Amino acid sequence: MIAVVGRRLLALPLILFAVALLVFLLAWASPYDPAEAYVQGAAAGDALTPELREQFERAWGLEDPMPVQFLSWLGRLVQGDLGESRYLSGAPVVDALKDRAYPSLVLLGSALGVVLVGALLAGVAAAAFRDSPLDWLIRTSAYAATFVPSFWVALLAVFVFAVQLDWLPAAGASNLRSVDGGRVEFRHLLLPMLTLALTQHGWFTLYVRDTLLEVLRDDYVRFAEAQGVGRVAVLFRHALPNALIPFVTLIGTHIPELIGGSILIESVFGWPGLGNLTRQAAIAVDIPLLLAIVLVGAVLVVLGNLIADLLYRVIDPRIRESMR
Amino acid sequence: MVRRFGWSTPLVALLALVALVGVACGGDEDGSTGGSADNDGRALVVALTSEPSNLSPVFLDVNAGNWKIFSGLVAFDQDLQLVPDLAAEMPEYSEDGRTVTVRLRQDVTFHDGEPLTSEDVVFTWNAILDTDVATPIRERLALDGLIEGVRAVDEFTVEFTLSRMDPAFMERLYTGIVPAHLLEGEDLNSTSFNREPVGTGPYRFASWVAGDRLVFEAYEDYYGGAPAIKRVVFTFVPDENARAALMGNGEIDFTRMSPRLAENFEANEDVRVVQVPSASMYQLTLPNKHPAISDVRVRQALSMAVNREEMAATLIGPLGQPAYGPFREGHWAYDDSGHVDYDPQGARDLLAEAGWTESDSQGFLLKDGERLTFTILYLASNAEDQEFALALASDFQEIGVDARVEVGSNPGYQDRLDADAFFHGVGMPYDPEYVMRARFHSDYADVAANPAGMANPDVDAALDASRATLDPEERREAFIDLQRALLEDGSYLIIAERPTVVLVSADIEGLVPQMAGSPHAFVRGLSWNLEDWSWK
Repeated sequence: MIAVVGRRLLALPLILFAVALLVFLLAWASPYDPAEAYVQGAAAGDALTPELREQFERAWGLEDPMPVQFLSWLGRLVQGDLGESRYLSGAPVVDALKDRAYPSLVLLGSALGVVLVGALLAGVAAAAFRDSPLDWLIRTSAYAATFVPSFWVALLAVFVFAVQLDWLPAAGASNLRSVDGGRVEFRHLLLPMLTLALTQHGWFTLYVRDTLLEVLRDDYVRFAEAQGVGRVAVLFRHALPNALIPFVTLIGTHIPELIGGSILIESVFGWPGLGNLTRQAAIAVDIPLLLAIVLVGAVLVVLGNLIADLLYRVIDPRIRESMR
Repeated sequence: MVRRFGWSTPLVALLALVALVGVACGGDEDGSTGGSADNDGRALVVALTSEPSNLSPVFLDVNAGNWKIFSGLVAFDQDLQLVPDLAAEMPEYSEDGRTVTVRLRQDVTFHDGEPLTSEDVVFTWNAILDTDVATPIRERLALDGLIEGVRAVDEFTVEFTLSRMDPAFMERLYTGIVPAHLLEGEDLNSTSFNREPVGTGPYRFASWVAGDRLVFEAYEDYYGGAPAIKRVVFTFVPDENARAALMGNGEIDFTRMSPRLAENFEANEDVRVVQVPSASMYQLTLPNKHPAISDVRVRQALSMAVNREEMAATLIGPLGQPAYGPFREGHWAYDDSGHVDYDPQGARDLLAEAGWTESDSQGFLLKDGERLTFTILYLASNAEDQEFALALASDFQEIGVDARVEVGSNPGYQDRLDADAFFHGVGMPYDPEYVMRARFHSDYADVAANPAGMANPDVDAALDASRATLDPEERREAFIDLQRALLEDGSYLIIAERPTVVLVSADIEGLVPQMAGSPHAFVRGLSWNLEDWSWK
């Protein structure tokens, strides 16, 4: 087990290096120009003169050739320095990430919780009442949720629940009038959390349903049924535990989807998290900030997968045996 | 094989996680939701369309005055006339117009308690002129070698030396003053001051939770008297429908809105719909390098073919106003004689005179077997722009011109302006000397500032005359000549005023709109006297 963890953690720097290089290359090849983005952002309609461009490039260290820029960035990273954000007028990138981490973690964590509980309930219900109208409804909604763009669902949610019904706030994470309120309030969290969960639950629900149906066909389940164990007991005591094992790994592999989805959801709901910051950084072509966000995302994905793998081993004795 | 406890562990963990998150975020729900009878200490909540990145006036000129953290040597009053602000009295030009001496008020302190002296003014202006400081403000203020030097004569007197006389120099002095004692030796490009500023304005910086809110508090020692509204909270909501929802349920007090969405609030007693006089105009740029459009008669015909009145009424709504020149009625340089009647038949006659006599099977005009064709580019960031571009193309097709419409990418569209027409909104209420010069003078024909590439001697002469004198009446004459010359040239077809509409809580007193420029963040035209506002 320790060997597995060690191997994964050793691979992490390599993965991060590859990801960083890729982002750098993409930004370099992008037709979007940081200086132009900055000037347009500061005062739309201003023309970027060659002199001004040169001044920006000097201030941001963009005069050097791309490989030199990459290496100098890498050199600072090794010393634990993520650099300064251009979009945030020179603020350290680390501070920007720290500021935004908490609201994002709350949103992602709660949405993941809702996805898992919701998917379990819906998946079990669909499997238990296979081919019934309920099953059909759950499956259809799961497919729809998978293919409908999340920003569209988010805009629709704002329109219906904030604009038309006026039940929930349309934007932000907390009451703007309260002087000492918390950074994240439940009333503000509900809409983005449910929207993110709604657009992400499809795979999980379908997965629970299909695995359950598969397990229900296994010999030991049939054996239990033949012994006279009730249908509910069979489902919950015998089938579900076995169906859940691969489910745990699905969480790990799904983290990138969740992070990606949160960029659009946070932007629509004006959520003060990393997703929103990603969009702002991308529009401003703020490479130091983008790189840092992508690296944090990559670390989360690798760790998520690792934890899922470990959990998998803890839960399923067969895999643990084979590891020895 | 099946172990009882094996499956329950993750499920329990999950439920615990959900419960935990619920507890962690559900704690605080009691924040006052506004609309309470007692407005004492009520925060003014402003929803901006985007988050600023830098609050220092060295980096943002026009917006900076708006933030109300800073004040400049001079300020604009409601009629856009200059009045002294940090200056003790209105500064004056020397005999030759090349020296401006400013005497400062002696009762001004920065928000940290330090007094304002001439050192701060000298530091600020040297920072603006320092090309190691990467800021668009030099371009924005069109400084371009104008200021030769800034020096402190004594503790409260500053002297600016200019390379030439410039009647619009004084206006640039509205730029906010930053404290030398906090910034000396700092790298201005990356100093934390940019996001935690200290100024001399009526409001002081309180906090900024990035991506969430920016909070200002009243500066009780403000030399103009402490503002009545003690707390201003800015939040950032790009989506207009979301801003409308926030306004509708009283969560915000101030936001910009498109005229059409704003109409929904006309019947809402808690909200005032305020139209700010806008110096920004919808404009179609006709490329002078286009072989057919280079003919002035073709440009004139295109101008006559545009039904401005109908466009303003249908595309903007009841607030729509057609426009013919770059100045709005109410601006000191406005001339009301400029007008183009909608005359499609006259346009056809003029095109025939220019040689567009044949037409093809689809009714499009031909000359030497070629159609008169061009593309109208617009940017996707403004929904109205597309509608205007389509309406323009349809009016042009009416007279046999094959005009097409295409969304331009930004950046990228700039490279196409030699051959394609471009539709956008543009304009500032400030001295036309530096606002209009870059837009229309032939010196700027090859840079993006004058995208049509217009080089018209009459336009140049009027602009040159406007900077050759300090006399307001002579300058007004010059700008009237400019408006006539622009109308005759037709490289820039001004179509309609681009309205700036703001929704404001009806609980606020003291609103006196001032003319505004391009509708940006905190709508300067309305918030210019924020320190005089109060709650009912």
